[in-house]
Amino acid sequence: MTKKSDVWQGTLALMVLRTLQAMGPMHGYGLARRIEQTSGDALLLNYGTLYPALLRLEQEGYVTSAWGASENNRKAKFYRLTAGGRRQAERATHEWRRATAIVDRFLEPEQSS
Amino acid sequence: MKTLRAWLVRLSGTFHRTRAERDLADELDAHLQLHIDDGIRAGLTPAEARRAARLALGSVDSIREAYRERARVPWLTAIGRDLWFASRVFRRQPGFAIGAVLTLALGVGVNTAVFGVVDAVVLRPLPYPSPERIVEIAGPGQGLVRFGRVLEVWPQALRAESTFGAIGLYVPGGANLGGEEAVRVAAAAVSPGFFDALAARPALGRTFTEADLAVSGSVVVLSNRIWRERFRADPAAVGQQVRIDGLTFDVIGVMPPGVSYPDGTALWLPTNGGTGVMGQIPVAKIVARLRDGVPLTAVRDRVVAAAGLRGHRATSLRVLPLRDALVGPVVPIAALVWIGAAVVLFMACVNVANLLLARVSRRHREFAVRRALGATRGQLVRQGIVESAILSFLGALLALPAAWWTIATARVVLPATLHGVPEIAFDVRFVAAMAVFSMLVAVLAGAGPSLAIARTKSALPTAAPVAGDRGWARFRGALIVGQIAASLVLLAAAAALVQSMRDLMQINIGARAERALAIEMNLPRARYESPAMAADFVARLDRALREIPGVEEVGVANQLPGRAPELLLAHPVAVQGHAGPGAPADGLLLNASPGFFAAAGIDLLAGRAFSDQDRTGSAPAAIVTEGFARLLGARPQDLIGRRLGESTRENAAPETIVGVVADVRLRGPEGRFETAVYVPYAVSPARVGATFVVVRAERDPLALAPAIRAAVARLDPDLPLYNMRTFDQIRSALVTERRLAMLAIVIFAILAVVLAAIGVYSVVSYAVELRTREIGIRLAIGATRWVMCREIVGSGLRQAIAGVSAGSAVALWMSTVASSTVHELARVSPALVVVVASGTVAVAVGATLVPALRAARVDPARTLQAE
Repeated sequence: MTKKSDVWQGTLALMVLRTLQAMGPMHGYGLARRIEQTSGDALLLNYGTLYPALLRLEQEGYVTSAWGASENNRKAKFYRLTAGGRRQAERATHEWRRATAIVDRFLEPEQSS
Repeated sequence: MKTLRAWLVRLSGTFHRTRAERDLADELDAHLQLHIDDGIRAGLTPAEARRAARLALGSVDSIREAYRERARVPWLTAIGRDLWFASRVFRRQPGFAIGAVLTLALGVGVNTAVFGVVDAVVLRPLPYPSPERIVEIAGPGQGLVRFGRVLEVWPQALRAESTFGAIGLYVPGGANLGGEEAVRVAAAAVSPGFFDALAARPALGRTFTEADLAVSGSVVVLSNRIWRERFRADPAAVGQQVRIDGLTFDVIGVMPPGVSYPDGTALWLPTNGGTGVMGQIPVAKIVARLRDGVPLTAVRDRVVAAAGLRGHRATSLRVLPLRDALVGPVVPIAALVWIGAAVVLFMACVNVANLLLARVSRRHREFAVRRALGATRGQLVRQGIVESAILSFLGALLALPAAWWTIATARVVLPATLHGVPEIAFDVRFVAAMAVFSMLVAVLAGAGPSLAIARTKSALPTAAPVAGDRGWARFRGALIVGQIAASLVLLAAAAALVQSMRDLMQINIGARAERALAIEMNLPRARYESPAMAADFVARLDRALREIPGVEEVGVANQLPGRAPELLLAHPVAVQGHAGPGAPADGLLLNASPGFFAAAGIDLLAGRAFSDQDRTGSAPAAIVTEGFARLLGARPQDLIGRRLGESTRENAAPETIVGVVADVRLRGPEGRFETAVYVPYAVSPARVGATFVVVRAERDPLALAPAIRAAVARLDPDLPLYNMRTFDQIRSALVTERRLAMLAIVIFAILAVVLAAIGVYSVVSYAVELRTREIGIRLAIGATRWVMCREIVGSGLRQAIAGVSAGSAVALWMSTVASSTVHELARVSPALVVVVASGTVAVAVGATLVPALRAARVDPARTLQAE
């Protein structure tokens, strides 16, 4: 089994936003599993860090939460992206792409010439 | 934006935490449940699934902790906890808390009130652009004949060269504003350049132009205050009319708030205003705006050159920056009062610091236990800071209404002519000052105790508090010595001020008028067109007043001791047959009615006073003063029957000297005796400025006021009487600022002594408390109570003597410095210092008596049992 990477600081919020954007309202556990799945099980998510991160996104107004019933009829808190959250997801995605593109250029083999 | 929102949510989370935490618990439960469901679906046993889910989630406590960090503002919660704890501590010892809060309220309140006044009167910048370039030029003083002619030349001569950007003349005075029920207001006759020199733009309308001078139209510019009072701040006031001295004036402009130069002026009239505004003798002052780059030092020489002044006239010319002219005279007084207030603040802080320090020692155990239980040093210090901050905040809260009341009073009792007094207000600067002072207090009073707390060791101490914290004991002792020294300095200053004020009130001004009432009025030219009409009115008034029961004597004159303007115009007057080195002698030309000298208590030294026969058409008579005779080298009786060289009036026969009277100090006790030549009021009535009526009563003069008003109203219902005062009141009014400053210093000195006594008391009694065990043991092994008592008093006495010695040295030194710079401040004499010092020592020793007696009553048996 390959060593799973920890989620580094700051990217968890982006993953949450993107996941909510793609999947619609989800509860915390579902979000965690979905993020792990999307990463191809390469990421090991410390579930404990997810909830403060969600709280922060909620304080910033990017997500709202409401209690609801899960698919197997368990009571769970569902998180939904707000309009501001959608914009933030776009913005963060764009920025991340730019950042990785810049780093990519340093990683290209011909860069050394 | 997002950050702000998050902060607001967190702030609210700080106060609504329980629901959020329950929510999180539910959510984590749901999380586990969903995870377990998944595990069971994947084939695990429920127990295995639960274990796996818990492992994956990690420690619920640490999640909760992280969540809480994020949900609230943690340090705010901590401060809240400190506040709650401190309030509990204070509730447990309300006496301590109340004492500390009251003491701090005193310090903060006194200083804020003083700031409120000093800020308006001294600190605030003048309400004109680039005020540093405005200068006041006061003419070459008294004794300059034909001053007016020079003044007429000046503006042109000065404008021709490049010194001044603008220059204006003004004559300060007063005017009767309004028709019926006219009121007396400060007014100034000003030239068009006056407002240009100040660069004061009207809030409404315009200011004067040369055209206003050319035509004899009557126009007026109103101050903002008068505009608010008379026109209810009506923007349409410009173009309306007001009645001034019985004439109708068009309002052409309204000045912005704060512009009340000179001397709290309410109305500005053009110099051709044709009213009584031109003061007693038209002596103008000049206000000018320097061009850029003109150094202040060069101005005087250029003015002297331009005006062609020489000798005394040149050297007595004063060029002062406007700010210095307005604010300068009160700076030493303001500084003194503020030093006094600062001393009170210092004393209050020291007392509270001492209380807190003693408490820190007493709570030593509590702090040590808390340290041992894991409280960090920072947390304990924070607790100490929060406690002193609460005390100072409560103190400020308590001080606010008192300070507000004080400045409201100051606004009323300070003379309205003093610059800035109308601007004294409860405003943002005031509240900011209060905040600064209370923070200062919190730091000053809390710093020592916080440091003491920081030094608390975490080890559990022995049962009794450690008496041996020598450093802090010595520190507290030094504070007490400082307190005693400071209170002595203040006390000495107060005593010296009281003494000098009493001296000032006892200076002979040449007029003894214990039961005399002076009344001022202006006879408007509109109504009293000719001198004869004015003289006739005054004669009828004189008769009417004499008919009032209880009136002993009535006199009228155009000048009164203590009421003369800053500048007086003396003329050289020759006396036939006296051609000595002093001739012609300089004398002020004054007038007086027959009863004036008797009513005002001015001694007649030779000859007779005027009589009803001295009137226009009869043989012209004059009365000269003793000093005038002395200038001529003549004895008073030698001058009787002599004629003046030429008449004081145009086209008239020279007057014969019929009497010689004493000189008076026209400018009050601090002015000098003025030499003068009097002519009968009936011959030469006051045509400009005030007419003074003096009524000498058989008993209380103020009781006659209603009858006097009624008598005047019967003769001329529109004539406002103003400044109805006794001579003592006139004299007091001359020194109002100083009297109030003296009062403030006396109050501060008393407060300081009381605070110092409390300080000595609290330190000594704490020392006794710490030494109870020692005292008990010593009593048990044979020391007498008397020895214990003496020892305690002795320690207080040592501190008192140290403080008094330091304070005496400072007081004497300060007095030397002060009297070399500001002559009118009182000198502290060594004898005074000795008196004050013994008083201070007595108070300090008195404060040690109570704890000393407590030491003497220590019961050795009980102390030993307590071991």
